[in-house]
Amino acid sequence: MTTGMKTFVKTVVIVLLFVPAAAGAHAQAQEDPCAPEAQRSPQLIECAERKFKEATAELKRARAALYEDLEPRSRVKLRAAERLWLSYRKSNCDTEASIYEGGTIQPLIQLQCMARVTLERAGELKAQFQTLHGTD
Amino acid sequence: MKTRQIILCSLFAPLLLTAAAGAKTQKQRPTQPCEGYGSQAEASGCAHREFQAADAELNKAYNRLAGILDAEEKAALKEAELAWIKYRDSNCTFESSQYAGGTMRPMIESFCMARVTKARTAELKEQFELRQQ
Repeated sequence: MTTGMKTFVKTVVIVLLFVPAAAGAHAQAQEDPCAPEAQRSPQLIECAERKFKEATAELKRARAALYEDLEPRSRVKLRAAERLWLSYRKSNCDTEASIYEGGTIQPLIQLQCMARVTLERAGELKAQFQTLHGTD
Repeated sequence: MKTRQIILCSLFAPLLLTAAAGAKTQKQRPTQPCEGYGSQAEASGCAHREFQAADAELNKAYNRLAGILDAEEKAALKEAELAWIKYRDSNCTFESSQYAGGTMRPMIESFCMARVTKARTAELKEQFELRQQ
């Protein structure tokens, strides 16, 4: 093979290596369920599920940080508050979604409500942590 | 000369640091609507009135929403409200327990109750709006 041919083959190989990756990335971007253009029900549900998962992770982080610095007596109080909050969240989001009883949008509204209330609670726990530590 | 500068610096540095720390604490202390009251008892009374006002607003929002619901929905709303009250009380007991034994505890509890109540009022208002659409 001449040097020119070698370079050509190399270029072709490199291009072939990258094309599928680029195509894959493109497909993934198109499938992002939280993309603004995603409007089909399954996408919206998937997006809401993801947001709820993220909110739950944030809540867990905030709770763990707060819990760590508490005395045993306060931990008992926090656990009690957390249990009652869970029951409020369920009951509230059931009510909120019941407007759409029987509709395909009901599970979506339910999930969006759960994500919203969970994020609010994470914010509350963070504020309690900050008060405890006297920082902003 | 150099030694003198170092000595002066080491004398004043802690003072400056303390002043800076003080300023930081002052700035970070949350400004509450009842600040400026002479005694803690007065501030606690003010905080309690703040909660009472928030509670009155909540009742209005609750009744307005309940007024457009059928019997079954109304029962579900009532259940959610009872669950919310339990969470609120328990949450504010926890929050103010950090001040247990202190004179600030009742005020902290009232502020917590007022804050959580306002958030619930907003939530009920939102649910009312959704049903109006």
